[in-house]
Amino acid sequence: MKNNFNDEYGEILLRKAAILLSEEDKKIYEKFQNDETIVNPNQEELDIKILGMIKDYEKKEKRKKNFILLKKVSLKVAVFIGVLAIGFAITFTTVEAFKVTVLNFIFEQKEKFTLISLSDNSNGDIQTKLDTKYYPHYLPEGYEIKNTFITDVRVEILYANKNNEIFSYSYFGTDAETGIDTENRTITNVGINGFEGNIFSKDGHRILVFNSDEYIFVVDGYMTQAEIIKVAESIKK
Amino acid sequence: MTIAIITSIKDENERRFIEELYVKHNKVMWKYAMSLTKNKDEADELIQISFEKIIRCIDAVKKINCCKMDSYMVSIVRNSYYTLLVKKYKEKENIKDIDSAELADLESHDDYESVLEKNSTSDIISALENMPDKYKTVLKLKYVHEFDDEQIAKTIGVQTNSVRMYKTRALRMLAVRLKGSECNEK
Repeated sequence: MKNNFNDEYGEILLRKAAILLSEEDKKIYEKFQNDETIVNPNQEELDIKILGMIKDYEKKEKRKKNFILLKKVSLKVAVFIGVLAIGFAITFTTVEAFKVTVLNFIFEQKEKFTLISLSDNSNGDIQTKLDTKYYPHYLPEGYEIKNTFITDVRVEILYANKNNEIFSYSYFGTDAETGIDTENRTITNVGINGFEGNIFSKDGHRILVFNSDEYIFVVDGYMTQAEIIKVAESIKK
Repeated sequence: MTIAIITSIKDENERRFIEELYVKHNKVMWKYAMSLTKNKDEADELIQISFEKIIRCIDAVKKINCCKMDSYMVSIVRNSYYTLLVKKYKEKENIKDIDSAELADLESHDDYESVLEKNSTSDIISALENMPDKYKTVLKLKYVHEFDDEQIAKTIGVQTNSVRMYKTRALRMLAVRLKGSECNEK
């Protein structure tokens, strides 16, 4: 208890001392305020210097505050974009309809490229595009065009039936590269319309590859050897 | 956008405030600076240092009562003078230290109440005479202008902990000198 009172008296003593010192300073101020004899010959220069310093301070403070604001906003934007990207990725990989919608895009023809269209339905439009391309005219029963990817130098068509069983057909220029999984597959040599080809088979899945002078043709799916050969032999414009 | 505008206005208001302070007080400050330094260029430098200190603690300065602003300006100029001295001549603080025996005696008989009761204003003024300027500045900024320790530290260019130390030393110095003056009277 005594200590608290003692501290309080200490504070009072210091406050009293501070007030006395402050009063002395005030007297000094008044003394010089009334003194007209002392004049600064460099007053203008000093004004420019100090007012300039004050303006620089303002600019620095503004820049500092804008930077802090920018950091805060950027963080919020980054978090927002991150959440959006994660949501998009999850929806894209899990929802088929969304995937197809996203994959439906159109590139305008500029010089070398034709209209590229991805579509999940066969329709008159696609048929028109295929008119100048090589494609199978025989399809196993129940199959129809599900998806296409058509450019000047490459055609890919995905076929599907009601049971969602699919097979794919593609062809491209001989200078293009593509990869086929041939590991542990049996290889059968075949002739398709006078061209040499191979069938790579494994557990009912077959990949038939043959090439003409200009193109490489690939038919890929779960079908019998006879069927896959029949599809390949029907390829024409 | 709103925050940016408010920030901009705040910066402009602060700038205007400091400019007004300068326009109102710079001539008196310069005259006092000249009386301390006896050199026009150093007086100019003192004004610059003073306003750097004001800018550093602008938030606290804005809260100073306008009738106390005059004494604050004088205090800042004086403190800037000592800053300049330290900078130019690398002069160490000339502190008249309390005698260790006196300090030990004071610590065992810490009784500010009796010191306060038995000493007049003029006694306190005399006791303050040899107190280092840094301690005086700390007292004025703390008890008259109500700066917090951090703002005081920024103004006089020390660590925040040093402010507390200066305050304690000032109190002990005052008490010892006042007690000493009591004894002399007896």
